[in-house]
Amino acid sequence: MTMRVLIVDDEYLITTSLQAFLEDEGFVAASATSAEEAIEILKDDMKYDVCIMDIRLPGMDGNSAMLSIHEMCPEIRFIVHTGSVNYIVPGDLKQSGIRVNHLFKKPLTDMSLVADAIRSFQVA
Amino acid sequence: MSGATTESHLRSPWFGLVVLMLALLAATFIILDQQRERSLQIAKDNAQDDLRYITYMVNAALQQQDFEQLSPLVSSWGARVRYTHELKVTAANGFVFGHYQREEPATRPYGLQETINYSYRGKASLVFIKDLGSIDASIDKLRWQLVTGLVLVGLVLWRITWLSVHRKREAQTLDRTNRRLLETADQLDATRAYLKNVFDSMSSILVAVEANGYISMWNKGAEKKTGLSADTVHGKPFSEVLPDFASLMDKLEKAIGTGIPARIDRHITHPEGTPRFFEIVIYPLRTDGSRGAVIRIDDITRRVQMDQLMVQTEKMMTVGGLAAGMAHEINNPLSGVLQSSQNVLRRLSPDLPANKTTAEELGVDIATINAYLDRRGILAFLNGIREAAERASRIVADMLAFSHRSNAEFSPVSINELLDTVVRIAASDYDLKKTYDFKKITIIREYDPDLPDVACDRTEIEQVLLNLIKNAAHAMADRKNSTQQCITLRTIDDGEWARIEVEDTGPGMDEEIRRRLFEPFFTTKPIGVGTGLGLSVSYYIITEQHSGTFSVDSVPGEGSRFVIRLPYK
Repeated sequence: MTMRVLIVDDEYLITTSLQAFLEDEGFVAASATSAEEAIEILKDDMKYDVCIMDIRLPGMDGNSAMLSIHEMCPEIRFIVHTGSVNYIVPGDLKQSGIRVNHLFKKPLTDMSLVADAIRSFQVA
Repeated sequence: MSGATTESHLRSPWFGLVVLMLALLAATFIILDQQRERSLQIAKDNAQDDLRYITYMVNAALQQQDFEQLSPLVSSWGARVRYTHELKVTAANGFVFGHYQREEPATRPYGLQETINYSYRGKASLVFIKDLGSIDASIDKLRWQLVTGLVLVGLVLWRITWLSVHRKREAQTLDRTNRRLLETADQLDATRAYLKNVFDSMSSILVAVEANGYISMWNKGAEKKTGLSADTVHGKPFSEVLPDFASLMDKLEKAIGTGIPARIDRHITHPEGTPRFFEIVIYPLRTDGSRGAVIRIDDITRRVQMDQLMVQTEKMMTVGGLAAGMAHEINNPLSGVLQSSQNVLRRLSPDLPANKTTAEELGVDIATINAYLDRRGILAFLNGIREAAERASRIVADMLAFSHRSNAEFSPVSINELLDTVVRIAASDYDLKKTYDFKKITIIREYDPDLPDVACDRTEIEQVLLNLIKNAAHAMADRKNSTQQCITLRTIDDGEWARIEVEDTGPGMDEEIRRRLFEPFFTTKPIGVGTGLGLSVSYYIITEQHSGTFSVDSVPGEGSRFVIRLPYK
């Protein structure tokens, strides 16, 4: 079964290039340029396995978005992809049972690392 | 001392003198009066005698019936006998035998009368009147002579007394003046001592100079700070005693001329090459009489250094903050470039089945496309874009790590890795600053592969090593004719220490520089290039924050070797 990945990032070039790479890797990928857009997408179709989340976003930030998405789809896995140097997963996210299994710092010099991370979910 | 007492002091001799004179005068008058009485008595006694004598003579003449002779005899007797006013011999029948009388009236007549029986029935009366007024006259004359004499004596005495009193008063006045002068002198001494105390108590260098710039006062602070005693500099030109401050003379002249204090906030001198900073204020003296000024000099080197340190820290914090903000902004477009170029290269590759399928759909061969891309160098360009973006991302990451002044606890750090990072930062430093060509420098790595990790503050040690490498590069850049520009980075496991050596083939340094190398603000670089802080901060980081050691060996002309030892703990 193919993994479905939702990419959230306000930088268009990042979402499209990541989406293209993951599609080439055989995943089904969709992208949103804001947390609100991502939530809209998930309302229509909740069958996403993985969400790649940027933290600094216009409007709702990545952390709040993860909380909301977790409530909607408790099974979804998160990968954080941020430009903030000292990003630490906030305590309330952990308490809510959200597990950030992978944290990638921008810029990604090799996107295959992300692909490997997604694949690791599939194995588990 | 009150005036009343002074007058009573002075009145007594006058008073005595006046009393004395009055007493003398009274005595004179009494004595003269007694004298007059005695003289009068004597004169009266004499008159009796005279009368007896005249009576005798008249009697004799009458006895001899010599009547004609009597008149001239009476006249001559009258004239001869003293004080005779009138002498008259009259017969009983009224015949005048002889008569003598002075013309001027008698002032004090004394009359005597005698009856002479010169024969039987022959009788004559004799009237003898003396004028004793001349005694009065002589007494009066004597009195006035005495009074005059007394007055003269009085005057002389008065003069003598006046002189003595005056002299005494003068002496007293002098004495008082002396006493006052002495008191004033004491007060002056006290005031001077107090002023000197005030002058000396100030830790600043305080120098009083005359209008011509010659030193008239030199306080303890000046003695202490210059090592010159007040005695040796007194009366010497200020500009000669303190040649470093000779440039003040213009301002001094102006301040004295205008009467407005002059202030120099930062006067810089370079004794032994290290800059020292002074704050100087010139206060012109306001006294009308003496023109001059007081110069206050304060060494504010420490304050200036602290200020510079603060500015430096602030700058670094600003740079740090900027770097953090900038990094985030740069990382997004960098992500776009990196990710896109990765996709471009991958979607051109013949290995991906989807590429082949799409190419075939469009009637082109993926191999042909690749051959074209390769021949035109397009793949190389694409790889170039990718590599350049990767390098940019590393620079950003390094800058972040460097600017990130964490108060973080020590964590284990691989020194070998850290050295590589620092070399990368130094290399990119060239790209940013273009002050020296880092590419010309050969980096020799003599790492101990088994060096244990060292517990330290990564960013701090990074800063120290970066500073060393940049210094080395800078030192070698100055030495253009050097055949081999070479930095050797060496790590050695030295028992309880990790030993890091940074060795260059620069010009090295002499003992004087070597000794002062870690002093704050000591720099051999031109103004504006170095702050003189780098090594002193490094020294602080290594020795104070990491309990390590930091030393340098150098052979002039051959190079320098900095040795850092960090404890494993």
